[in-house]
Amino acid sequence: MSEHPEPNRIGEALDSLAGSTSRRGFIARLGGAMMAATAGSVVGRAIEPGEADAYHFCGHIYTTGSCVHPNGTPRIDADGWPLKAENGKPVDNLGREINKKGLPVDSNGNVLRDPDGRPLPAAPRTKVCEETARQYSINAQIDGAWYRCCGGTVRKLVDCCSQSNRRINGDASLTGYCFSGRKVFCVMYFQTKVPC
Amino acid sequence: MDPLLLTALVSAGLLIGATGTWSPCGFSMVETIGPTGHTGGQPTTIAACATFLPGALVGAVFTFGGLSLVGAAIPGEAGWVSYTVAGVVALVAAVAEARGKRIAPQIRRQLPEHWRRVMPMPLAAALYGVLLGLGFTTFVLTFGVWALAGIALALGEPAAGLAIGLGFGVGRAIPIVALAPFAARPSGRRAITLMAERPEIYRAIRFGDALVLAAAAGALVFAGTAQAGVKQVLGASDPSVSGATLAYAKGAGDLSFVRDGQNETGLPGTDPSISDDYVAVIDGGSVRILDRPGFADVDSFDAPGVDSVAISNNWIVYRTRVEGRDKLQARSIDSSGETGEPKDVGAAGQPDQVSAPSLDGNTLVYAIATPRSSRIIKASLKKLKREVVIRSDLNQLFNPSVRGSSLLYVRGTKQRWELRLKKLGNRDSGRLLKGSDRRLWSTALSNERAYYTVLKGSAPSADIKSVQR
Repeated sequence: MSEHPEPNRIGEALDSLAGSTSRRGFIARLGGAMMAATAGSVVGRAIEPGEADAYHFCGHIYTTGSCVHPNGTPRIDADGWPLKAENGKPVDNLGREINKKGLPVDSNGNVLRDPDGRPLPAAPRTKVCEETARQYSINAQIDGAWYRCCGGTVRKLVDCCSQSNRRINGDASLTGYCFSGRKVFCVMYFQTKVPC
Repeated sequence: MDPLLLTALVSAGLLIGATGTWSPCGFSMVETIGPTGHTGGQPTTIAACATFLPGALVGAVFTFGGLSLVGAAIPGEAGWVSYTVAGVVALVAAVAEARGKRIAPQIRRQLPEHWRRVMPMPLAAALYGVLLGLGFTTFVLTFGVWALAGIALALGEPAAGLAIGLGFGVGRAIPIVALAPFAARPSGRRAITLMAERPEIYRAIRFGDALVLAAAAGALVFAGTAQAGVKQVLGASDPSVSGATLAYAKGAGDLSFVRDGQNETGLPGTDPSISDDYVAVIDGGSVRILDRPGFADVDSFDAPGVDSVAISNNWIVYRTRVEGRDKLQARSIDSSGETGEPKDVGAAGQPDQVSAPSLDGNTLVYAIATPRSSRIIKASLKKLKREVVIRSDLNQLFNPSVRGSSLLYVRGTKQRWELRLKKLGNRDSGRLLKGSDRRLWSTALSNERAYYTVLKGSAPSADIKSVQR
């Protein structure tokens, strides 16, 4: 499996940079200072930055690669189906935006048609973790999750977990949010609409 | 503290705490404590919920109770200024919440995710609860958190801090504890998805925050107005104060009245003294104790020669003058309002005089003026211990009153009469509140104001005036 280019990587990198150098970073430090004043240095040491440095995408703090996603950046919906990272619209396994019936649509939501005016045929759509498992011939499932603030809204970081000791990168896998002996095979995220 | 205000603060704490569920850490807690976050299944989830709630309470009480203690340590008494500041803070936050303004300043910190991997889940949940309860350890999702902190600090009243803390802690925990056990079920997943994908729900909760903050602002202003109390009563003398209620004697017969705001109520008897629970009046040669607020008779006893009385919730002290000798006697008051046996606490024979007594809790203060000197004495009625607080061989120190650790008294010098306020533990003569060419007489001290009687003319007429402490 090859890594796909990520259109908003620069923006996300800037976002992570902001965590350490900008006004936002200053406020983060100010918040830490205030917290330390109220709860003491033990708590000050315990809590973590809210916007973590990005490896593949904002919020993902470890080095495991993205799950197999038709558009590259592993954005999913609440149930694990693939979404287009840029606009959160559902996509099929070919990476095309689709409507509720699964038919491919253009950016305005109009059904794409063939030269005869018939709607283009729908393509399969599989959940990102399941598709990754199928392609790598492993059993995989979603275990736990964690939420972080990314790009102004709350983001759920989701691990696709398997019993494999190797991860999608090809090297040793980590525990991450997985349990019962499972480890992180690849990572995904679900972007909520809650501002933060 | 005003029950209406306490209710408003608890309600605000509850909803504002619950709003934090929409933070990254709130969502994370639901899924971490829930059966999808560990291997222990529903029993571990229940155990984690059981530890998360007290953890959140501890954290919240620490933050808001602590802020109120910090506020209490700031010099000056809580009064209408404090209430007004707190009310303005609540109102500004309410407007910001109603308009859905972006939270600023934001705290971009998070709970330590690794705790759930390195600790048993119930222990991790308890510690997560503490951090979330602290309020400022993670993303703030409502201006209400900042407002509650400001209110607790401005009021400086531990009861308010505790009320806010308990409300906030419960509010922080309840949605998480209610959702987590169902996080793996379709209904739970639907609820979490709705929260995540419908920003209008979060917006509605913030509008609810605006409403409870506006209600809290109203309650604070109302309580602050009550704190402002009565400022003066013309044609009256010998004030006694409890909260915003002033008791005083009026007219040639020194008839008893109480005034709460603009409402003046006449009482049986003369020369009243007031505490939170009781009013004491003189009725001929006896003392009557009335309850509050109904002024029904609770107890009475004979006290021949009585001409002054002071009451607290657990003591009554009265001065008698028999054959030119002033005597102070104290009786305890039990929980039903009945008085115990009298105990002598002070006396002076002519030409020496004992001032009118003043009580706050178990603390009695009075002055003894002699031709050689004058002194103010503090007595602990519980420990039967007395000490001279201040004395002078040059000036006359008289008519003291006490509130907490503060002492108000009148100092007569060659030049003028002075109303002075001092700390009981300090050795100085205190701060000058009022200087006057007219004779200043009896005093009373509230948390907010210092009351005094001004005498005019040779057959004196009297007015009660007051100054901000």
